[in-house]
Amino acid sequence: MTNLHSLEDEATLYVLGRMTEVERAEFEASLAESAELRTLVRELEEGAVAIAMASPQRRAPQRVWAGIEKAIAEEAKPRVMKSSFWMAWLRSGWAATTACLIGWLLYAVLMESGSPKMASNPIASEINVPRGEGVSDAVRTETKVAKSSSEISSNIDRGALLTNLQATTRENSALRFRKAQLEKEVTHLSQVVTQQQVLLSESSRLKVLQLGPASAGGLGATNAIPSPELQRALLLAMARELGWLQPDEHEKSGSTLTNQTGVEFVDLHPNTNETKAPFSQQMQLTQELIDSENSASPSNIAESEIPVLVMDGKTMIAFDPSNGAVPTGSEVGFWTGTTAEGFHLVGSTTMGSSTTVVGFQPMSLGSGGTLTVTFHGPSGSFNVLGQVPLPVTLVPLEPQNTVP
Amino acid sequence: METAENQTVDLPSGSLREELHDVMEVREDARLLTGIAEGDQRALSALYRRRGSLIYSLLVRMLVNEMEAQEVMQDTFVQVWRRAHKFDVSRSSPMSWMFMIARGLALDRLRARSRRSATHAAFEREVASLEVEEINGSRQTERDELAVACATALNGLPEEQGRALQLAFLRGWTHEEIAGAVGEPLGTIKARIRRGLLALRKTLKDHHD
Repeated sequence: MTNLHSLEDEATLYVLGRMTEVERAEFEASLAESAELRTLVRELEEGAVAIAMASPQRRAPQRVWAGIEKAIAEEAKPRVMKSSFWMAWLRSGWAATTACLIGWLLYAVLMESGSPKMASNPIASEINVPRGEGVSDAVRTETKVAKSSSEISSNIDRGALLTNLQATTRENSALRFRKAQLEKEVTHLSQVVTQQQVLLSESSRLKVLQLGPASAGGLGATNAIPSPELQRALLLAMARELGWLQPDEHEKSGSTLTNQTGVEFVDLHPNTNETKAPFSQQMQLTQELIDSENSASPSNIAESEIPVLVMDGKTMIAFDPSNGAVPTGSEVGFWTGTTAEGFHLVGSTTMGSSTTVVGFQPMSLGSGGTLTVTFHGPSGSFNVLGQVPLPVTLVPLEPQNTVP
Repeated sequence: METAENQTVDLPSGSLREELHDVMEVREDARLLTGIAEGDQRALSALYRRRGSLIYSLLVRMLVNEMEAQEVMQDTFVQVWRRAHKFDVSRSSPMSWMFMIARGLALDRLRARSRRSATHAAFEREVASLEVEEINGSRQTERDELAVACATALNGLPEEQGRALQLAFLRGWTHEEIAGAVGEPLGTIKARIRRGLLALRKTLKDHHD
């Protein structure tokens, strides 16, 4: 019973594929000898087939058969190709050529082996064989040829390497040069961007200054609050710059008559030609500036009554004739330049009875300068009202649109 | 008097007809395998058409993955092509022989997957997956009479026996793994599986009868 059970167990393991190679071989040997065992295995296999056939039936897609065909076809190919290759080789002249070559080599070897010195080393380097010892010329030539061909090939390799190295070096130099160029460009662009940013920030800033005395260096920084009239005038000037206030017909035609707001706006337009003040005026202006600098106390006029609005690079100075700073009928001049370089008259206007805002539009961006404001009083006196720093350099402007 | 034309010829009844049919099927399969051994690709094609669905169904059931089943199907018939000259009709039927090739390749794939933990939970999961496949399969495909008989026979086995048998045959669980998962002695499992195979075989034989 036990034997039968163990045989049945083995048969089950065999059918289920649970035997090792050795066990399988032993069992198959037993199978061959026992018909009863073969019957048992067959019956167990049929039971296993029943399990397989109990599976829900499905059809494999067409590509499976295509894959099988292809795999079988590939298995068949190599054998045919290999045999045809060798057959072609035999039929062609290569076989004969190879036979000749082998024969020649054998002849060379045999000839070489005739010399006692070379018996142990038939194809030796020329270096190891002393001259005149009877070395075969054919072997020597062959060695020379082999050596020279190897030398040639190594020379060719070296030459190619050298060429490559040189090309790489040139390329590296070009890249370094290009890198330096790009670095320079980047630096330049950074500078330009920084400058633009500064200028833009400068021009976009809204600054309210005071026309300061020359002694103050034209900085214009002050805590003085403009009068309500002057504040109003500056606000209207700002609105005008922003385009909120449309110029009336008179302004469009070039004159500066009083508009509806009650404030006169004077825009000094740029002059294509520089207008340098006459020498006498230059001297006078210079003297006045010197006197202002030396003065112990700043001028009362310049200190408090003439606010300056800088907006988008345009400088606007508000004058109120009623506060006595610049009386009606005074001719107000606007100058750029320095004592050392000389002064240039940018423009002038005659003060009317209304509050007046005089504006300067710069021609180009650049370093700042100083605007000096003077006036000729009705009595003929010449005074320096003050100075104000400019965000940009003004080109000399044509005096225009003076109020009659 | 009955003339030759009037004679009624009774065809072999039920079991005999089935047996003859089976014998003829086996002979045809064997003939095709002989042709394959001689390098006849048409024989392989014919065998593929005859038995391809059965083998593919088994592979799908074992691998639960159609793509893998297709790959193993391809490998199976390539192996049949290569080893057809080794087939011995005295040892096993052509169907058994091909099923065992297919099963062996499928078990290799199953072993190549992540290592199985032979726990009771894993055992239950595998059994559950077999049952789901059974239900889905029966809805989708047509089944011939023999396949229905096989399924009926399998379902007719005692539950523990049927489970152990299917896991051993379809999922490659060893006797030791099954014994450990269900918590029963190894000898019990071995006997259970053996008897299940024999019972199936007997049921099929009785079906023919």
